[in-house]
Amino acid sequence: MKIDIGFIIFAVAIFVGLFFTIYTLITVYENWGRHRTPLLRKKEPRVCVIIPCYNECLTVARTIESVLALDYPRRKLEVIVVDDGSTDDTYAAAKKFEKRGVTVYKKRNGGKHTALNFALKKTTAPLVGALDADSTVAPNALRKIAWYFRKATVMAVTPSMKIDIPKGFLRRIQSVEFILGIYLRRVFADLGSQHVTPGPFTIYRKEFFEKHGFYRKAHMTEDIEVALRIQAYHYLIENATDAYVYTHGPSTWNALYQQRLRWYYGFISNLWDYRRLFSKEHGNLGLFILPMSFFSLAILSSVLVYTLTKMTSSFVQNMYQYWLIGFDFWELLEWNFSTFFINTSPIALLGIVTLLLGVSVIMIARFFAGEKKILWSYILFALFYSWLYVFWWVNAFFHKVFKHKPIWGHKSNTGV
Amino acid sequence: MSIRKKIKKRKYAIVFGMTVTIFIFGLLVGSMFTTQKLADVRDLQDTLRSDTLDLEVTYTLLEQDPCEYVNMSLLVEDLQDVAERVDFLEGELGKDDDNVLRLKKYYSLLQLRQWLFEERVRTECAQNQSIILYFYNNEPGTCPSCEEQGFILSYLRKKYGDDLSVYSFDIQTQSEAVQAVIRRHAIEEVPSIVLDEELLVGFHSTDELELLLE
Repeated sequence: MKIDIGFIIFAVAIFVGLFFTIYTLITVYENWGRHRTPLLRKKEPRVCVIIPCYNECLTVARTIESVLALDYPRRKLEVIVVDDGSTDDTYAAAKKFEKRGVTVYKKRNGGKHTALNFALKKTTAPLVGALDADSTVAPNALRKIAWYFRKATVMAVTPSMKIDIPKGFLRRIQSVEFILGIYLRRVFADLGSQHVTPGPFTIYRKEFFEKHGFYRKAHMTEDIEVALRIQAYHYLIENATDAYVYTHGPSTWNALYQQRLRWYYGFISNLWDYRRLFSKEHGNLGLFILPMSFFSLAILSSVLVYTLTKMTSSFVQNMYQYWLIGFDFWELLEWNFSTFFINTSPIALLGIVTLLLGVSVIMIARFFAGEKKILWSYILFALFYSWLYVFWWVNAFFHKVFKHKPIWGHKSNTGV
Repeated sequence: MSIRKKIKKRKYAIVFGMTVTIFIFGLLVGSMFTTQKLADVRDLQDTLRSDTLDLEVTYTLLEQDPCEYVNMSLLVEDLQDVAERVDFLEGELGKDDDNVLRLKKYYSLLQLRQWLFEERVRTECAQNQSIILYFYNNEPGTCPSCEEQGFILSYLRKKYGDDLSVYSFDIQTQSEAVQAVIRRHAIEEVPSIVLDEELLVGFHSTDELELLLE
C-alpha cells in the first residue's frame, strides 16, 4: 500500500464521509416514526403569511394564488403583501387581490427585513411566515407544518424546498442540491440542530419575535440570523419534510453566483456573530454539526485541489508523450484488458462503499422530496457540483476576510 | 420553555466503531486482493520460466533446421504480460515494496535470459531484427527523461512488432546478472540505450531512433 499525500487525503475524506453518512442514516431511521404526522384538522391556529416583494410584478400573482389555494380555513389565514418600494407594477398586480382578502401595503425601500418587520407589526396571528414572491407553496403544506407547533418548545418549522422547473443545466444541478438539502434539513431537525431556516415558508411562532426582537439586517440573510437566534435561546426548530415549497432558482451563472455568495457570506458572518453556539451546551449543533460543516468543506477542497492537480499534470504529461511520438495513436491502441488491472486498493474499495451509501442517501432524499424521475440531473450534479460549491465558498471566505460585502441586488425577476 | 440539548455519546461511539470496522474491512480485503495479484504474477513468471526452458532445450536438441521450429513470439508476449503486471503493482504498492522488488528482480532475470536466447537465435538463424537494451532509473528525481524515453520505446516496440525487441533494466536492481550487463556495456548515465551493441547515452527522440533502426 502506497502511503502518499493522496492516500492520506482520500483516507481522511472517506473516513469522515462514511462517519457522517452512517450517522445521518441512523438518525433518519431512529426518528422515522416521529414524522408520521397527520394533517392538522381542527383548532387550526391563525397564520399570517407575509409576501415581501421588490420588482416582482411578473411572479407575485402566482405566489399569492398559491397561498390563497392553501388547504386551510380561510378565516384563519391572513395574507399580507408588502411592496418594498418597487419601481414596477408590483403594487398594482398585488392590489388586484385585495378583493380576495389580501392586505397590500407599499412602503419606502428598506430591504427585505424591513418589509417583514412592517408586516409583523400589523398582525396578531400567533404563527407567522414569509413567502418570497418568486416561490409557490403546495396546498397541504400549512396543515403539515401547523401540526408540529403542538409542542410548546417549537419556535419554527421548516418546509422542504424544491426547484419547481428543473430544466437547463444550472437548474438541474440546483434541483439535486435542494433534494440533498431536504435530507440534511430533516437530519438536522432530528438532532435539534437546524441552523438554517429557508426564507420561503418557514413558519415561526410570533411570540419569539415579540420576546426576542424582530428581524435584523443580519448581513442580508435575516433568515439565517433568526435560526441561529432561536438556537441560541435553546428553542426547537422542527422540519415538516413533506410540506413542499417551490422556488425558481437562478438560471444564469452570474445570478447563481451572486445568490450563493450572499448566502455563504451571510452564513459565515452570522455564524461569527453567534460563535457562542460552538459549545457543548448546544449539544449536537455545537459539537458536531457546525464544526462538521466547515471541516467537511476543508476536506472537500483538499480532495478537489489534489484531484485537479493530478488530472492536470497527468493530462500535460500525456500530451507531451503523444507529441514525442508524433501523435501516432494507432500503434498504442491495444485491447488487453484483464481484471488484474482493476484498482483494488483499500482506498478504491472503501470509496465504492461510500458511494453505495451515498446512493442510499440520495434514494431516501428522493423519497422525502417526493421525486420520481430524472436520472440525468444526478450525473450532472455528481460531475460538477462539488467544484461549484468549493468555488462559491472560497469566494465567500475571501469576501469576508477582505471585508468586501457582496452586492445585494434586491430580489428581482431573475430570482436572485 | 427552552430545551436542554443532550448529546447521545453512545450513538457517536457506535457510528465511530462502525466506520472503523468498515475501514479495517476495506484494508483487509484490499490486502487480500494484493496477495492474490502477487501470487498471479509469480505464477506467470514461473510458467514463463518453464516455457523458456522448454524452447531453449528444444532448440538445442533439434539437429536439423532448428531455426524453423523456434518461434519466440509467444514468449515475447508472455514476458510483456508480466512486465505490465509488475509495472501495475509497482504503481499500486510503491517502488520500495519488498514484494515488488522481488518481482522486478525475477522479471529482470527472465528478460536477460530471453535476451541471451534471442541473441543466439539471431546469430545462428541469420535473423535481422533489432535488439535494444534500455537502462533507466525510476527513482523520483534521478532521471527526468527516463519516463518519456520508456514511453517512446514502448511505442516503437508496438510499431515494429517482430522486427524490434526491447529489454528494459532498472539500474537499481539488486541482481548480479543485471549489474554484470551494466558493467559489460559500460553504462554510466541514464537513460542509456544499447541498440545492436551501439551505445547511445542520454535521451533520444523518436525520429533519431527510427533513423538508427533503418
